[in-house]
Amino acid sequence: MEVAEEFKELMQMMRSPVFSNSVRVGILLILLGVDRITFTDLLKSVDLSKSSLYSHLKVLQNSEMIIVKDVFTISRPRTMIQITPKGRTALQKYLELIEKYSKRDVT
Amino acid sequence: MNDQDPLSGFHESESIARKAYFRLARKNIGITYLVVSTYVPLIYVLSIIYLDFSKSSPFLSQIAWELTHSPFIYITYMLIVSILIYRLKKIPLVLERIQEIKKTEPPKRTRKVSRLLTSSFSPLTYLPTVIYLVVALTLLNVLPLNKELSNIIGNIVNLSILILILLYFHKIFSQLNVDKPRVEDFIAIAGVMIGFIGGIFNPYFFFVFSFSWMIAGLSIVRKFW
Repeated sequence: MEVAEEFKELMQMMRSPVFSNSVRVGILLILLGVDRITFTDLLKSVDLSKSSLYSHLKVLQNSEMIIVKDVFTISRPRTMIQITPKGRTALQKYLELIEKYSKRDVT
Repeated sequence: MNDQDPLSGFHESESIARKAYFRLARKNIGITYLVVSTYVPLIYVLSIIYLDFSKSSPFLSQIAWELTHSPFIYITYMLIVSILIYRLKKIPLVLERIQEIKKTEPPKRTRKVSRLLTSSFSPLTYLPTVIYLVVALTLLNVLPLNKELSNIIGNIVNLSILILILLYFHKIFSQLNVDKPRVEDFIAIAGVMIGFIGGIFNPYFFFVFSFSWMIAGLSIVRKFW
């Protein structure tokens, strides 16, 4: 019964705009490992066009998973992307459910 | 991703994250190589200033002497390297979590012990201890060693720090599973070995180490900036 509930919860999560797309989950995973990253670094790391990356970031920003802000550095202003506590919690929950799903799949 | 198996979507996300981690880790290791490579030339330049300006500019010469004989520069370099490593500290944890998700077998009993060993010998715990020891021993003048012996001990400590840094980066890259050691890494390892072993007999060998790390650092930074 509990397993079915968790599977339902995972499926529900995967219907949300954030977790329905692997690129967005990928961006959140990157941010979980490095806390924050510049737009240029992120663009160079993922094989996406500038506009496509912007649209993914917009979805994540609207869901309050990330914060996008302009910061001034020594060389030039940079766009910094940072994960929010809400984003971190949601991703941890997603990883927890995926892990349970993965283990359940085998048995 | 909606209509797919949840795991296949997760694998796509994981591969995106791995690529990004790889790039960021490479960039940081390149900067580390470059930063460390400037240490020997800096100390050499300060020694030249101390010797050449002792008559014409005693004040400048005195500053150079103080800098070369105090742990200030050494600690500054250690702090910069620690910050560069600290920036990557969460990547192995996330990768371990991903690995855990992908693993189908239950975890082995030795895992906790091995994790404890790797974490207690990580540069993150090692570097601050070394910095503390250098400061404490220098300030208290505790070590009554002759110059040659203290130089050898210093070389061994520095060599072990550099090897630990290299091992730490190796650990990250083996977890990333996207890249084999590159030419730059072999140049850096060879430079450390030749520089430090030769440096015991002739200090000019340290320039081999410095030069090799500079070449490796420049090459990596140029590719991954």
